[in-house]
Amino acid sequence: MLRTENLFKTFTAQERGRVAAVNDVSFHVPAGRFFTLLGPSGCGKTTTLRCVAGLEHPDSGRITIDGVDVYDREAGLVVPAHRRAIGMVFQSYAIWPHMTAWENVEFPLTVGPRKLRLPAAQRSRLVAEALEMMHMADLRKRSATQLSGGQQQRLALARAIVGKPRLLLLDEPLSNLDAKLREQMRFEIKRLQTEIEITAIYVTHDQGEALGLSDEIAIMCDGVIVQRGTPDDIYNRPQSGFVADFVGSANLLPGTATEAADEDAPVTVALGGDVSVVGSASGKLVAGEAVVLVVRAEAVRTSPLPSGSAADGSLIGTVRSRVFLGESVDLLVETLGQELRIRVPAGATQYQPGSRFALNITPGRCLVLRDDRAEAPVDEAAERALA
Amino acid sequence: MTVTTTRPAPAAGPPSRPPRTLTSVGRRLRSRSLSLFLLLVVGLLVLPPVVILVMSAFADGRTLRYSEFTWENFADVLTDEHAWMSIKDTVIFGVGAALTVVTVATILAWLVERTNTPGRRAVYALLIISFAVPTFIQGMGWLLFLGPGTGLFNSVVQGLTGSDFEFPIYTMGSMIFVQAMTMLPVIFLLIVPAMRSADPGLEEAAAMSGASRVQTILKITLPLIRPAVLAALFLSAILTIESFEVPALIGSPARITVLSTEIFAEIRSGVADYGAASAFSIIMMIITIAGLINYQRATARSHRYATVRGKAYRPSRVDLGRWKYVAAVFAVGVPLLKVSPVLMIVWASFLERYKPPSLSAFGDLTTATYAAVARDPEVVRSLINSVVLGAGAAVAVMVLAGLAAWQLVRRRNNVTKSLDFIMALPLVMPGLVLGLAVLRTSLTIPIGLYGTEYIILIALVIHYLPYGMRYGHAGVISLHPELEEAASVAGANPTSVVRRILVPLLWPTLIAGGAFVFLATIRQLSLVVFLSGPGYEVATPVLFLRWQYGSITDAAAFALIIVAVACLVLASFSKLTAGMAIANPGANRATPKSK
Ligand SMILES: Nc1ncnc2c1ncn2[C@@H]1O[C@H](COP(=O)(O)OP(=O)(O)O)[C@@H](O)[C@H]1O
Ligand SMILES: [Mg+2]
Repeated sequence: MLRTENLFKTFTAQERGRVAAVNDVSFHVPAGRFFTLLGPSGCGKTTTLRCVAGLEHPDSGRITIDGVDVYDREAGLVVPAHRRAIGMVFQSYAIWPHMTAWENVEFPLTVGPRKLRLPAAQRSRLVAEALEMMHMADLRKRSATQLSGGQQQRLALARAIVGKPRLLLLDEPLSNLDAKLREQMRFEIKRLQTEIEITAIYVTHDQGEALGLSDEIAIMCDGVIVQRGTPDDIYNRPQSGFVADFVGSANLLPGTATEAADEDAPVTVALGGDVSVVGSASGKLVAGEAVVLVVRAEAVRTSPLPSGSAADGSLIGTVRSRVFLGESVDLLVETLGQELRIRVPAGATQYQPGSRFALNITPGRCLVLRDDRAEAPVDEAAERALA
Repeated sequence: MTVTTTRPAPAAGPPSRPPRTLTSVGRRLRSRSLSLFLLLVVGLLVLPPVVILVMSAFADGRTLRYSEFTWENFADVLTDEHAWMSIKDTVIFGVGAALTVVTVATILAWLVERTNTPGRRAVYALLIISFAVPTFIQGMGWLLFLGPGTGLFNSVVQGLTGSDFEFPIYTMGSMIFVQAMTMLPVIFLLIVPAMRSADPGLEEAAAMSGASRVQTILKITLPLIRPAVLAALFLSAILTIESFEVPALIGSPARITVLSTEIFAEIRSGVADYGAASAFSIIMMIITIAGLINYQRATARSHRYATVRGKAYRPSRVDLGRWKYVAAVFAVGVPLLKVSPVLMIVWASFLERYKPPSLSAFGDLTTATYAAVARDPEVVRSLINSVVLGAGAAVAVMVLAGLAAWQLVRRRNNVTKSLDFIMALPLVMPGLVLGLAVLRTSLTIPIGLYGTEYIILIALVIHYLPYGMRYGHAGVISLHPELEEAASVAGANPTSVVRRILVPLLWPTLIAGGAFVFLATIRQLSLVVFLSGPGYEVATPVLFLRWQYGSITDAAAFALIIVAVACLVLASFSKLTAGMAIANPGANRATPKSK
């Protein structure tokens, strides 16, 4: 449905010189899928999306929508934004304040080539349908300026889908809403997407949204897609420390592989101070290789300090601070000279700052990655692009 | 996918045009075609007068040939003792009026904004009222008020003291005073915001640390508003040096010439000498540019000082105690003084033969003068021309400036930056100089503009482009670019985006800017004084001639008709647009910016 090939886009910013906002991005989204670009702020998600929309033109590359080229640098082809037949929801919603809710939604049907415009009756049916779908039917006469944030958001969605485009682009549509509305709108968006079977490209920096909504996620970092996969893949099998850290804010413990291991095989990692933990290798590992152990907050259990010697190979931690979350408690624990964030069930045990516990890392639940943090992620992506 | 597409697929089927293939140069040209077009139009408007003015400063001024380069004009001007006197008097006039108006405006602004002076609310109303009256008409009023013989002030003082007192109106001091009074509203409004935003907390802190009230004012309040005061000083000096009305009304009879009256004399007395006039113009422009640079610096600094606050903020007021009655006399007296010349004009306009106001003269009041003036075909024609040309200029300026500002804000590139520069260029040309330059251009380039009203329209458009640009820029900046992008994605072509999104959203700004330009063109004298002529005259130059050679009462009636017409057109205009504003509620409200 949507295919981008080797998109590059460089900006010249006054303060920072040339910035490669999008650096060789290629992906393919099959029809009807929900595809998410996830990454920290400034990584080039918006720029990529705007290239697809035609609001920005890449320096090079090729973009194909539904089998039709809309941008091809080589062939010198540019289809302008207004002829790409796309629906888009902007971060600011971009609701036109000089129109009513109804007029906002009707707008896409009243522009474009005259010959293709629908008769008025059909137009109002479509507008009513779109408003109905977003539960906005009773607000049609409202001036756009009298709508709340959530209503503007729904109006923006209605406007984006009213022309029945094949592709829906959403740029951080939930980032301007408060937490509760965000939760609610997340479901609305998913429901809408499956209901009208539209292909959606979603941009966000929020891993929760990405994991919850997407069929497929592409993680971006510095203009490069560093990993693509299903939410399950991304969450459980991160291929780099960056992804592991960004998705699920895992703890990354440096160590050494004590043995060679194949992909998915268990491998023992020495963490220093006689402590070692068994994890599963994310790829082929050689003995003695520097690795990082990805420890999710939920993968650590606490138990009272074993009596007698503490140095029997288990991890000892000191509670530095705690945050009560209701069902669980988040603890910041100091161990092996670094801080570990863990999440434990609230209940019987009292976790006072300063108290010491033994930490049991569930074997096999932790991923072992080759330590790539010295390398720039850009190089890695370039390698993948060549492969 | 099963969903039907109701909008054209890209390049799908015959209805949509085949996608264009473009080289990158071609694409670049196309995306810049609007700014290139604007650059061409504005360049053709602005550059020829500038170039021709400079050329004629270095050519023989009595012919239209520019073949021989000569320094003679400057040599003539700069070796002439009288010319040096004029330059010196220009500087004295500029500095004197600037110091006077800024001192008065600062005190007024402080009294109104920061003290409990009674009657402070009347200040705004009184100042704004007199703002609508063209400067030249205000000057006429001052002459009626303070002038020799028939002046009201003289007869009152003479009646009270029995002496033969005469106010020394035809002096440099009076020129400075009258000029300062005409600028008072503008300068007052410039200083008020600074006074309002100067943090009273800082003053209170000073008081807590033991500073006396006077010490607090000198050490805290004044330094805080200093950038704004400096900016006001430079602006008022520029306005004064460029001004023509007061020097012509008071300076000429007093035989005090400044650069503007010097230029006027070179063109209008005896054989026109464009060379000398151009040389004087260049000197005037150099002084203006120097003033503008300083003004720009001062405003940049005052913006840095300005503290942004929420609406809840209310500065506490200084309690003046018993002094507040003295303050009230000043705060209400000065604006009243400013309005009184206009009242003199009103008085004169209801007489057939002028006499100063007195109880006995009330019996002579009549509307006959109005009736006579209103039947005068020259008056009627000039008024119609003023309104039509003013409206035309307002529309042209706002269209050009709105589009240029939009292009500049949305895509900063070399083309739009050049456009911005050329749009600002007219700022360095005082009205009289621009009028001269446009006149000279129409003589040099024979495309039939000389001796028509189009030449007036062109001069008005050039002169107000920078002002229109200021409005346009502020308007576009407040619009989130995604509002336009959303329309593009929705399928609107660039023309539709402009027509259906940009123009409606920018409408309040365009109207405000247009109203400003219209009112300003009606006030204009110096810019059009060389360009207006029999058959294609506009109101103020006609009034100027009638005041000089005709009857005072005719001139007064004509002056008030000009003011009335301006107010009437403006009122009906704003009524008309108020309806549109209701149709577009919140049109000036932009969508909140992201994060
Ligand atoms: N119009 C622009 N001019 C200059 N730099 C830009 C422009 N748009 C984006 N950038 C830069 O490109 C990079 C990627 O931006 P963006 O795509 O907006 O990131 P994201 O949406 O992931 O936060 C950032 O460094 C940003 O500063
Ligand atoms: Mg973004």
